Amino acid sequence: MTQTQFQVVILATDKASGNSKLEPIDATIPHSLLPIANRPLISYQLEFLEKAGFETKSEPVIIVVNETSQEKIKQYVSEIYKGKIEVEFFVLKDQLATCEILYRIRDKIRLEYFMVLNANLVLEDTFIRQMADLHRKEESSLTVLLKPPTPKVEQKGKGATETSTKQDKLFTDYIALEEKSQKIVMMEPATEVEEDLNFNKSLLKYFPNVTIYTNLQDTQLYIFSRWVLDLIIEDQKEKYPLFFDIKKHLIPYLLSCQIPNIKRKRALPASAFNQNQTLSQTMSSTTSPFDQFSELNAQKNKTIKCFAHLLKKEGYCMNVNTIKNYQQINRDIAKGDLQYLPNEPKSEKNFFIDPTANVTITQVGPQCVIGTSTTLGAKCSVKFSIIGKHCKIGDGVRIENSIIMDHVIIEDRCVINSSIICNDVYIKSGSSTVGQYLTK
Amino acid sequence: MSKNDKKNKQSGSSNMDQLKSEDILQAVVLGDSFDRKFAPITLEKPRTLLPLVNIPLLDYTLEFLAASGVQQIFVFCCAHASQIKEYIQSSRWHDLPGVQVICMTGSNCRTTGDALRGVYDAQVIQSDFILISGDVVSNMNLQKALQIHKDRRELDKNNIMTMVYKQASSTHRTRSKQDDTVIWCNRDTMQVVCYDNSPSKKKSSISVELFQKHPSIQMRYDLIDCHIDICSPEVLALFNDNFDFADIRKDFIHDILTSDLLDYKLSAYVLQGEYAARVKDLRTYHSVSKDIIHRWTFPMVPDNNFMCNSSYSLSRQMIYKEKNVKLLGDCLISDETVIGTQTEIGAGSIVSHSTIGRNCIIGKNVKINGSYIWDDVTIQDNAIIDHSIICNGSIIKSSSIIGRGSIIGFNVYIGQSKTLEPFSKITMAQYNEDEDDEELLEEYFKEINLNDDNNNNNNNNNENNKTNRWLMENELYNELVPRINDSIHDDIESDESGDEGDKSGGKIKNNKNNDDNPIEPDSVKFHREVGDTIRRGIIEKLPLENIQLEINGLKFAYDRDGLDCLTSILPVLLESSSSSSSTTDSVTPKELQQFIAGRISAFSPLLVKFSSEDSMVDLIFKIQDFCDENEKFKVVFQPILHQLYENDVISEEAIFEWAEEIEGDEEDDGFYLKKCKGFIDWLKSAEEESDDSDDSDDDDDDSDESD
Repeated sequence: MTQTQFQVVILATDKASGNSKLEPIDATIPHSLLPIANRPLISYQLEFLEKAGFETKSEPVIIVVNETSQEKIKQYVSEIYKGKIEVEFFVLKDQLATCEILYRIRDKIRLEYFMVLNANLVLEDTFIRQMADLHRKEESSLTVLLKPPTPKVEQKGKGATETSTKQDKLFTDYIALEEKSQKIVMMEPATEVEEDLNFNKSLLKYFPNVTIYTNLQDTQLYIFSRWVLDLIIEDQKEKYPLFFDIKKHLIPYLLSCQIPNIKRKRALPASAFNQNQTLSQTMSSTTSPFDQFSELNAQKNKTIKCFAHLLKKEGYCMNVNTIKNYQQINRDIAKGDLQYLPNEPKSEKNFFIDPTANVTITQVGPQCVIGTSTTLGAKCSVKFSIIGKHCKIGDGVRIENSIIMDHVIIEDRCVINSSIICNDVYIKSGSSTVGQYLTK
Repeated sequence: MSKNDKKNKQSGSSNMDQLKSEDILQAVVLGDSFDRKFAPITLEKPRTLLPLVNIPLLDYTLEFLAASGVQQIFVFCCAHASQIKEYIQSSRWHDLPGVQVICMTGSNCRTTGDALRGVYDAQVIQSDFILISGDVVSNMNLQKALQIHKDRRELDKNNIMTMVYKQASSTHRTRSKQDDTVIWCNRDTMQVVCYDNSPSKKKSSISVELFQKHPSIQMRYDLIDCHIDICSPEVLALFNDNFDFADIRKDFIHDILTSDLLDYKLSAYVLQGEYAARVKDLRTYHSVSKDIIHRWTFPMVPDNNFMCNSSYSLSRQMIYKEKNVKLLGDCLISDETVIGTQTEIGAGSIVSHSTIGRNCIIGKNVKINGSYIWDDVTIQDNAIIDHSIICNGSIIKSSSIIGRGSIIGFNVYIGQSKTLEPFSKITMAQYNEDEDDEELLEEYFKEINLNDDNNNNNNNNNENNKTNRWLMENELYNELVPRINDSIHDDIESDESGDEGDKSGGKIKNNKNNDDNPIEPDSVKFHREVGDTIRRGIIEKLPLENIQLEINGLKFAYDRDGLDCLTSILPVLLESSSSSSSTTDSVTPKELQQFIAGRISAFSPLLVKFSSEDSMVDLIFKIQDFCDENEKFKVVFQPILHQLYENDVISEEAIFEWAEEIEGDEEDDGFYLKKCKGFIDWLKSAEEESDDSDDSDDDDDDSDESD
């Protein structure tokens, strides 16, 4: 199955991922290249795009990168990446808001729909297909992918919620859905709401039964119809454009346009109102020029529709935007029962060790990944951890629940627990780190 | 009566001994609605006894409870308690096996809260009970709701009340237009977390804090409040503790939801297929009647004869007839019609979409459409009745016309060839000074002569037999059929065009709807008649009260508001100045100014009566329009404003607001604003002074507090 009508835009700029809380581990590494089970983040995205069947020969995937990080990412894609996805880079010299980025690349987007995804997302390809089907079937203008709360996270979170509510606010949205129709009515980031959520009665009339969630997570994967770009283009021509951020400005605006007869600050372009409708009308034999309802229908067509695709609980989807999530996804992938696997070959005991690594198998517990040319000293033990490439680990080191990136040197008798050790870190013998994030 | 009560209670307690106390399912029926939505009918008869499709409302409620397995029903009566007691004594509820109907009275009760405190004091409620208004029609499965309430209570003791709602779109006919309920409840537990019923607000809001406890909240705008609540005994205790709780919805729910001290929880139960609705106002009386006729309330439909005292049968087109209905000659009974026994309908009459009670006599060529005619009514030949309620025992003489939306009270006599304007309310009830109801004002009653013009024999009507017109203004939407304005209101709300379109839209609509006399729409007619009244008043020097009464009458007849009255009155007051001194066309502005000052202060008591805070700004704009149209008054705009201010017709806030609004308006180069600048500045300085004095007062208060 191929997806030919969709053009993909990956926003891999600093600002797009600016909503993440990954300090300090992303200080030296571009976000897209953060290793997850020894694979850079972007490789997962290219993998699921390929699996989802995106046809990129004529319309390559557009990756928007910053000038500072472009080299490394380009290098990865051109030298290491072996998949079928064709990539075109768009290098951003200045810091732009997401809508402005879309405006800049408007000429590159030629297909009927375009999909914008944040570079921090890892998910299974089936969701993209389902979401694309929903978008086309319902003639949606905007489709968003939402993730329901995982019971696991909730349990863990319970103790921590009180302390981390402030931080959570960054990633919390008030999302209103009409459950029956899967329509999305409202999405407000919690940071934009102060005390009360207000709903106009006119909205209530059209959506009398909506549910407002705070526990749904916006995965920041959006499918737009091409006309939305026309709207952005028109808006950018104005003296004071309304739309800067996709999430903060564009989406709330599109959602509000679902109510007919509302006063609009920006007129929707004519292309917004179902092109397909006219086609189906001309094709349908029952439509006659004397159709008494045609005018009524025309009135109805003056609105747009926006949908939300809810992830099923069992599927995998993760936004790598917090350290907690980063650790979680590393653990999840190292478990080896997902669609995505580390590059290293899997062994019977459910760990992944590169053949070139110098390791005694008995030292390594299940759900571990160990990269190329890494050496482990005598009497080491590694449990539930990931060790990158070209690391040197001394004798008697105990590593548990940790992520160790590339070129790390750890001397003898160290204890490393629940920590993240970034590239090129040197740890002296006898040290112990618990729950720390070390960078060079 | 009270002795009977005691007996009942005693027998009740002996019954209770036989059953385990927890097995008895109890219900409290509120026999009074504590409002005036059905006035003036309810001056003479309690709402619960008003017939709905020829069966008293209370019977629907009691039947519903009895059918649901409620064993003990307490009917709490306040107004007209003796009537309700008598009715229950005489009906089958008196001795129905399995169900015990007990009357309780609280003659001093003014609110639902008082009534519930009364129930608490009686100490009759043992366990979870059903609290229901005495005017609810329902066929819902109460046991299921009860079970859900019990399950919830099992989970959490603090779940003290489950409210029953029916799902229906926001424009559903059985939804009272006076309600605008938005209910917010936890999606998973159906716990109600916020309750908002404010029809006047355009927005509904919810505090963000609630999301910390409830991660997903349903916002429901598609629910009808059925006024069936399953309560735990704590509810009564809470009412007893909080003596200021008056209304369940307004006070109790609001308090429970917002209180930080109480940890009680309220839940919602949403009906989907079943029927439940409360006859809340005239509009819902109309729509619930239709629902019953269309059998949505099955098994509570007329031909089921569930009260065992009727003999209805159903024929095609939703026509229900009792035995012994006499249809004479070629009278035409069309669809959605119910006719009680012993009623006689004359030749050539047309009855459609109407309910007619028992023992009515309807003459020849009478046209009845969309109306509710209760028992023992006589309607003589050629009368026309359109969308009205006519209560028991009224007589309508030949060739009378009852306009749509009218209410004719009990035993009213309407003489030959009389025409009642639409939305007239006529009653024989008298104002009674002894009655200690402060809200019942004498000015609601105005005597009206509806006797035959040529027949003076009826003059022996003594004092107590006057016919009155009921003048209490009904709230928006509380009419049997929509007023034309209602629908305009709806349109405006739906297309969000704001308030500007209101007046012009109204005129256009009126034009459309009055095809019969396309020359003169209501608004123009009203304007002319008010003008005539004022001119006559000026010439004949009539007392202001009389003029006011007359204009008030016109106001109701044409369904106008105070602003309309003022905009009709003011030009005449000012215009007659030009006509009286029209000989000298060159009146100096000074003279004109003096004249205006005199006129306005002379008529100020009248003007004040019609002015209201909300419409003052609009009034200023109207005056501005008037001045625009009459070149001569342009110069005296400011004096007019000043005079109106001096005489308290408009407030300074209104003037400020107007000035603010007009400031952005560049249409006439701020001509009026410039004119009034001095005046406004003066007002502002005066206000500051008074503010200063206020401040000093505040200081005093503060010091008192600190002491």
